[in-house]
Amino acid sequence: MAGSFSVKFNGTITSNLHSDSFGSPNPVAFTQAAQGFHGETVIVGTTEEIMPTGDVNTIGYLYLRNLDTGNFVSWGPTFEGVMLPFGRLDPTGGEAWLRRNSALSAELRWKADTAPCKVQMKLFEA
Amino acid sequence: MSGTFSVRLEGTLTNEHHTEKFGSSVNKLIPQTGQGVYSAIVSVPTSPTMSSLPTGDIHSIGYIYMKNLSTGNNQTILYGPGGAGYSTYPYWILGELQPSGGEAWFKMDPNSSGLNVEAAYTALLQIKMFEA
Repeated sequence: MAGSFSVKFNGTITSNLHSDSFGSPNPVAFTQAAQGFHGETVIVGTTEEIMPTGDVNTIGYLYLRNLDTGNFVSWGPTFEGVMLPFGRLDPTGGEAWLRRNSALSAELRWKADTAPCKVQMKLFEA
Repeated sequence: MSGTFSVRLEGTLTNEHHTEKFGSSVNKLIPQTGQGVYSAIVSVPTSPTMSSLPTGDIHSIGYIYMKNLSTGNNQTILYGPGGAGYSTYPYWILGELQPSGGEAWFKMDPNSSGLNVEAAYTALLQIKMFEA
């Protein structure tokens, strides 16, 4: 049975002489075609690892958050057997929120910079 | 002079017998070292022609916010790593923005090859790119 996402994202950036805002004033709703979810806190090592997907068949939304306070985690798609750096989770709560392309995208990999990091991940069925 | 992001992502998934929450109920403060911003609404071309996202005068891309402003069912926007070496379809496709407000928020890795986008049908993309 289909489920529904409700996501509200708001952000502001404030500098000395400039400010900007982004996001949506109201929650944005999306459907989840099939029930499926994989969530865990992963200890990401300093050698590339494949991001786990559990029993999720058709990969949909992905949420990541770096719980480590001193080290960042790089992530990206597998290209020719190795990680192609694409994103970075800064220490102390660095987040990423995106919807994977369920049919076409390569698996994701990640790697902590100088010491293993705990990363919270939530992966939803499309 | 550096700036500060204040970001709050709050989401809920509700199924018939399962609920999942993610994000945070409070704003998170993130320092910005540089002061650059690039903000635009761009027209994303149709596949198979992908295009590199403009970056304005951003020197080192940090956080990116993207939102699909188109509403048609066939106006999903695909995106992924840029660079000629990764242009072989479909390997460059990493994510998608669903019509009617599909969003993405992440920080680009300084070692990344940039960002390419394409759509099955011409779509409007709001993008905000911030200096690292």
